[in-house]
Amino acid sequence: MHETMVIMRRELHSYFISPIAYVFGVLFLGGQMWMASVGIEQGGIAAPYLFFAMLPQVFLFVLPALTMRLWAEERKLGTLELLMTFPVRIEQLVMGKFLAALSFLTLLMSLTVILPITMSVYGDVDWGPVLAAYVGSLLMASAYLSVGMFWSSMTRDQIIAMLLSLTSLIALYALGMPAFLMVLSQSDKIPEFVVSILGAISPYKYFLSIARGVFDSRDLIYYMSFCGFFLYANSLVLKARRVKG
Amino acid sequence: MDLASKNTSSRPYLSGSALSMALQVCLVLIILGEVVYLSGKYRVRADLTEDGLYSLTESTQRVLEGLEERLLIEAYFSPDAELPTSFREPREMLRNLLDEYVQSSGGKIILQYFDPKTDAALRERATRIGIEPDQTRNDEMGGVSLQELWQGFRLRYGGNRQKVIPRIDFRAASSTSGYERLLTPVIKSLTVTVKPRIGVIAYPSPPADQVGMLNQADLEVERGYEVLQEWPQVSDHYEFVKVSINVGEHIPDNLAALLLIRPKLLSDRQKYVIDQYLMRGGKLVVFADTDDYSLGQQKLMYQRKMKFDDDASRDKFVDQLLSYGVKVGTNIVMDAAPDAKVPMIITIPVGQRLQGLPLESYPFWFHPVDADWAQQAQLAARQPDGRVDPQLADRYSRLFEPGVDPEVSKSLGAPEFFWPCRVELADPMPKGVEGKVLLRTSPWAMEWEPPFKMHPATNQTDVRFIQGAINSFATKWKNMLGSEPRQQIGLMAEVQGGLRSFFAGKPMPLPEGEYRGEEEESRLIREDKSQQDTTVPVDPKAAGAEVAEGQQGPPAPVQAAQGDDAYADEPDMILESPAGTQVVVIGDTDFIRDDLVGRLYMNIGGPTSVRTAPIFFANLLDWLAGDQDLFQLRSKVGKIRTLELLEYDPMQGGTIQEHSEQVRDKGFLLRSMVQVFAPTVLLIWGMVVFMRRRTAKREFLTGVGA
Repeated sequence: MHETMVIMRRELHSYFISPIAYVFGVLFLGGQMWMASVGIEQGGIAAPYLFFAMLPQVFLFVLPALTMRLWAEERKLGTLELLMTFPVRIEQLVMGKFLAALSFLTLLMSLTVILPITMSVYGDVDWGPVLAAYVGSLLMASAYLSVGMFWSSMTRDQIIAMLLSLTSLIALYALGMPAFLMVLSQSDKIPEFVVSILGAISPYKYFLSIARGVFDSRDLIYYMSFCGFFLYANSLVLKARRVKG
Repeated sequence: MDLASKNTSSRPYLSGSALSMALQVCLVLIILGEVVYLSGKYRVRADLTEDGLYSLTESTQRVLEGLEERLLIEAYFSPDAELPTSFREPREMLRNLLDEYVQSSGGKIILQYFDPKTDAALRERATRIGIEPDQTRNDEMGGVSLQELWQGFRLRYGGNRQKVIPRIDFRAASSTSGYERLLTPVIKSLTVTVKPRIGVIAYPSPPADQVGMLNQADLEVERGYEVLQEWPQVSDHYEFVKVSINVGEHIPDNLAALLLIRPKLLSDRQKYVIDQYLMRGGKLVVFADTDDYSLGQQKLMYQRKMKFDDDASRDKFVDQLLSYGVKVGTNIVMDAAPDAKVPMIITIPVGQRLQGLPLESYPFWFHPVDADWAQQAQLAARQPDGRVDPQLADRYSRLFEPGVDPEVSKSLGAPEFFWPCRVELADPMPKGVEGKVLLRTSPWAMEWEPPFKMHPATNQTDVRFIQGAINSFATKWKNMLGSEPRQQIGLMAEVQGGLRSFFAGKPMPLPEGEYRGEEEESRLIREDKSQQDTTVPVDPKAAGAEVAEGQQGPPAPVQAAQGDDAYADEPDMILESPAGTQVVVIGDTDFIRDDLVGRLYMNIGGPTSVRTAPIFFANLLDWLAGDQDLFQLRSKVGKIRTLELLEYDPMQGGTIQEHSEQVRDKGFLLRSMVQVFAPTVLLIWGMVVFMRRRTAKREFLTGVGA
């Protein structure tokens, strides 16, 4: 655990000294708050629905940008081999980088609390669903980050890593859209049970369930399994690379 | 990707490793998939919403606990994959709710899903038992087509009782509780063998033009009060019995409650039988209107004088209610709080058509607001110059109470009222009786002596003059309201306890206008005179009468009839009711009128009470009948949480348009603040980090002498 935390601190530090992270952060916060604050008007609902409604789409583009460099840059700069020589297990390395990315995102998200706080001054905000939506957002972000990290470990080119992450996340997002599933179900070539399984894969679907204010053990277990699988796959790729030398 | 190795010497090892990895990945994937699948079957949920919007209510839990036999729920559903996009989430919510029912029932509920579209026999069975598909227009796939969607239920309880819900509209609910309100009452009705009986004494009024009060045809219909009684959520659970007291018959005792709707021209005998019904422990709800206005297609709003008592009455009905502890006013009540507003649209004839003009405020139609008005004391104490009178604010903060009683009315709900009257508790209250005002106006309320016409643009048919008439109407009530101190006015009250008969010590009213005690008194006087003549002392008790002791308190009534009494079988007067006798008085009848509940005026912009009256009515019955199950269930609605950037004082600060502009400005300011806050904090942080690093770099370079 200690080793994981050391890796996490090192990674987190690298975020804070990277101008690119700030640029992304400002763009993410600025854009998101610009659109979400439209709901502040007399008679508007005292809940940041708009903010959380747009978050899954915004994450699709922001998170691959955050994760693209995690492994790809190490490989490009040749520091991955150096990292591998550290007295830490690969799983600890993966976990440390994952937690660093998640912590950076949590920090960005914490700055958006100004929106529900402002609303609570002028209305009766139901904090339960707001809290659930924040937790749900971070869980969904964890899932996206784990996918992004996996693709970053597969290539040394950051842009390719980002494009692969983006494509797979868009596909996962689409699987959570009923309209897309309907198209699939109307295709004769895809059996109904496959459509059902595909529909159950999307992190977006589980985010919607949590964001309305309900913590369901199923949703939490799904996110843990999803992240666990991609982080495990990530460490397998790195192990394979170490074996290959 | 460069996973494949070009090093041929290590190829067999790597191939084995890749195979092993692939197998590991597959294994992990299968295990995790299974875990997720099982977690969907055995799940724990925590509903964080303040109103418990996604949890089963205690009411449903109680209904499920009350299941003595097995309940089989057959759900006839089209596959989820075939549903239009917008119906998927409601279906998911419904499935989740059904899961909750099964899990909470402790094995009493068995849920089976059927897809009528897959099997002709299933489809035939579904149709035979009364399940109907919904024909929905689907234009999502590029073309427009009619789609057949099934979402109906058959509930079978204990083998011999069943109910069918032909279809549940996909638009019926926006939250789990919406579906719960549809399903739980049906389950409840399956478990109930005998429906409680509700007695109804109603006085519908004929159309205004039939009573000769209108020279204009306003197409007013007769006002009945039966639509609510036929509402399935009510009729499934209660049997309504029309009770006649026209010739003074006694009210049956086997009623769960008696509804006295719009009482008018009551004779003393009728008041007496109502009184005696209460004295036998009955529960009474009075929907009272002290005044009444016509409301036809043109909404002319002419006054129709109301009288509770017939001309021959010696005792007034309001005094009778007062003796039980409820005071009913004679004026109509208005409430000017913006939150209490019920929309009103004035219909203006434009050529051959009628055009609607939304009114900024018509304070005689309103609903009690679920708000703690004590928190508005500062606003209410604001003087015309904008200054707040601290003493007044302090007094108001102690005086003002919630508009909706938090214990009872919060669950009952609050209906929309139309020209209601004041209903308060008597001061002092009768001994042994406790009471509570359940619904109140906001502090921006007052009573108004009923005028002949209540239309804001009375007599104006010319569009050019209507706006002026509306403005002068608003100015009039605002001036009147401004000249009075802020006050809350009661609209619904409940008293409970051992009530004393209103007729105690009075002659007993008999049918056909006779009074027993009076005859008896006269006879005693006559006998007394004759006895004085013969000097033989007479004990009045021996003659069958009880005389009050020493003139203290009202004299007791006559206990026995004389041999030649035509009403010898008339029961003795009961003087006091058992403890727990309940009287509820509501200061309006319009909101339960058939034409308002039935949305008769919807095509001309309202009014209608359909949004709140049915739920309130059903809850009221459940409350009186002591059935907490459905009472709590129906009232479970999410609180409306809206932003209020600026308070609007009806007595201060210009028109609503001016207020809207101020709100827009403030909204823009807040939005701008929220928009720039987070990015600015991050930017400042970044700059601080950048400066520190630059300083550190300089110091380092200085240190190494570069």
